[in-house]
Amino acid sequence: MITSAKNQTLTFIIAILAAMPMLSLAQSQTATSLFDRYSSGVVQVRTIDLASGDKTSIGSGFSVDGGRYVATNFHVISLLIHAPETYRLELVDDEGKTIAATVAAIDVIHDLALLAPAREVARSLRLRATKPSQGDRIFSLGNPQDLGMTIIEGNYNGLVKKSRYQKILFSGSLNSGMSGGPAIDSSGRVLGINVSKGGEQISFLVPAEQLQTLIDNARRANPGDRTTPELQRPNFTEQIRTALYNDQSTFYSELLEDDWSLEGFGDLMLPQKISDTLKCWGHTVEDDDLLYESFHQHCQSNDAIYIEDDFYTGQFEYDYEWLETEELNTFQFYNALERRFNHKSQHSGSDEEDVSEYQCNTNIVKIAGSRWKVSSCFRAYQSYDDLYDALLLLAALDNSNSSAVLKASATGISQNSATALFAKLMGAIAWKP
Amino acid sequence: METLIIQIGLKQGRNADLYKLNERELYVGRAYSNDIVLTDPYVAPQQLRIYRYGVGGEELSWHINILDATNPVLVNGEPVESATQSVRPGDSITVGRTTMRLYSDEHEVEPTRKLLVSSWLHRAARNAWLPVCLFALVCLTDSLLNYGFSNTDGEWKEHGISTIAGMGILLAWAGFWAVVGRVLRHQPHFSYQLLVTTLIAAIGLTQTPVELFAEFITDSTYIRTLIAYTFGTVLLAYLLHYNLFFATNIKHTAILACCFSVGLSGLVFLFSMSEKNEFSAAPEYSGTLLPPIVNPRTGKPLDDYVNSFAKTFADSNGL
Repeated sequence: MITSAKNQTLTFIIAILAAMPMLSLAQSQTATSLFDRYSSGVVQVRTIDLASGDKTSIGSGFSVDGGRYVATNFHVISLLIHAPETYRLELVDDEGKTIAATVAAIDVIHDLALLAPAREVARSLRLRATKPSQGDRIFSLGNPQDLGMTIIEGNYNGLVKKSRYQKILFSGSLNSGMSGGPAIDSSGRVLGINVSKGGEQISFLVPAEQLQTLIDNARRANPGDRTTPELQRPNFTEQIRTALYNDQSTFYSELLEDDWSLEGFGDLMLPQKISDTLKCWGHTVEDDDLLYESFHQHCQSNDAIYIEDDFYTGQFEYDYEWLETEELNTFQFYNALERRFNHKSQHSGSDEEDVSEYQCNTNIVKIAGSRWKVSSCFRAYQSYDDLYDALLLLAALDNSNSSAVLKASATGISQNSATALFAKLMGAIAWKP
Repeated sequence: METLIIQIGLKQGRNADLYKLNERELYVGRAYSNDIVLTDPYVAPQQLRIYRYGVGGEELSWHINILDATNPVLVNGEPVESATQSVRPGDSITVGRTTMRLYSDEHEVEPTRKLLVSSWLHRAARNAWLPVCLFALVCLTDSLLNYGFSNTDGEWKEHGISTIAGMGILLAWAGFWAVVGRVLRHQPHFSYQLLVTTLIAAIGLTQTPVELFAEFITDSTYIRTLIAYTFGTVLLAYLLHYNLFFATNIKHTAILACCFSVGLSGLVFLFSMSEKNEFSAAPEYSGTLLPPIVNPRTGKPLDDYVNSFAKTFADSNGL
């Protein structure tokens, strides 16, 4: 019996080992056949500089909606959106033929764009309406670094948690130039659009349902024409502004409607983890050179909306720090506190064409029965009315050897939202009984 | 009888050599046999004879006789072509690289200048121990204030180095002006220079606390900058005024010191403005925090503060 069991086990292992090359072969055959069948639906999207006639940026795209549109990322074609007099678009199909294209619709929040090609691309891809199962093999197509059309195999790992916007976690390695290309399942249906990379084998896709929504909206806006004539070019600046405004309005309205639970932080009670979309971290400062103790809590949204190079928006974060000392005198302690009293740096934009200079409102304010030094700074977006970057910084001034430095930062926020957010943040502060 | 005064050495503040010429003639040259010996290698061993001369009833007048034509002799800047030339009080005679100015003994001298320093300062500065003690006290106070108010890591080393560097700068400054005094007036007055430098430095110790308090009270970095420039300009003007007063015989030291200080502050301001980017992506705000024992402010109500955002938003839109 024992001998027989050993033989059975051995037979099973041999069968597994024998099957592995076949499994690998099956996988490569899937990728090969998918590439053969669907790569003709994928194009390279080029932004052409009108003056030099050469390409300035490249990305990928794919034909959808029966060939009516080519889908890609907003960031692939953003140069044309912001400077239509300087650039034009060109698509290059799998045979190397060029097709002129115009922008039909954009979704800046989800980083999507629909292009209207002058003629149809050879093959149109279909969108998948249902979500795959976690671990399903999926395949991404695109033209990385202008090296030619490629296919990459990876796994579907569900939607990214702690995010304001739905994004698919693709365990594969996207490269620059593949942005806007399709991610397809083994039957060739598009489940997502390549958008960004987060690290080694960590990439992100925009779910196909967002693209379907954009296609539906574009159809409604342009029921007859296959292309959007230049004379009827939509006001994309206004569309971007409206999208950003509505997005922040929804996010901050929900945030401000919630009852924030207060938790202890040093001698204070502060609102903590006020949104499920924020990632929070904490740490204690351990530095032997400092004669005070301090610890932090830091929460931030990982979402950034791309407007153009060096101009991102839609971020929200806050940072609490508690400091106390038994070794420094009160002047020395306040000197140390002053060094921590700095606004958070924002990376949304640093160009005067995009934003105005910060205007700050600094005062000593009575909060929770004690005096705080508060600095609130705002800068306006030049092209998008009633959208601002906002900074809040405050420090408690009534204790001799302990204090807190609280910071908050929001980019792309309206005046009403920023005012209400900062008022609620400051109004929620309380001292422990 | 008219007397001719010959002054050699004309630079402001330098003690001049004066010679009186009455009846007799006088020889000028590089050789030691002359009445006026000039140690100027461009002057001949026997260069000039200065004498008084008149024919018949003619009034006596002063003349120079050029004894060596290797280098030209200039009277009031013009070369003398002949061997003899008449001169008068008020003229200047240049031989080689030396200039002599002629005066009559009736030439009016400037009124006596009044000393600007108090008698206390003069008496105090005569005793070297006072400036030295004050200097040590100011340096020690600076170090203690720095440590007591701004140290956050308990390290003395940095403050020690900063104090020693500060002492070195004060000593070097006073020493520089002592050298200037030695060159221009043959009197270094190191004690005076150290005393005024230390006194000004002592007043300067109050600058940072005043700046911080003013910024904290007003929430304005502009006020702090204004105070810094005003303080710096006034202190530098006073310091230079006394430095020049002790080291030179310049008449209007206060005006000169004021002009220099204001000019220097203006240049520093212009340089800082040119260094500043035309567009700043960083917020500018008052970041000074003072502890409760020196905080006289009561605190604005939160609602009032939030309501004031509307103006800040309008400002950010350039409205």
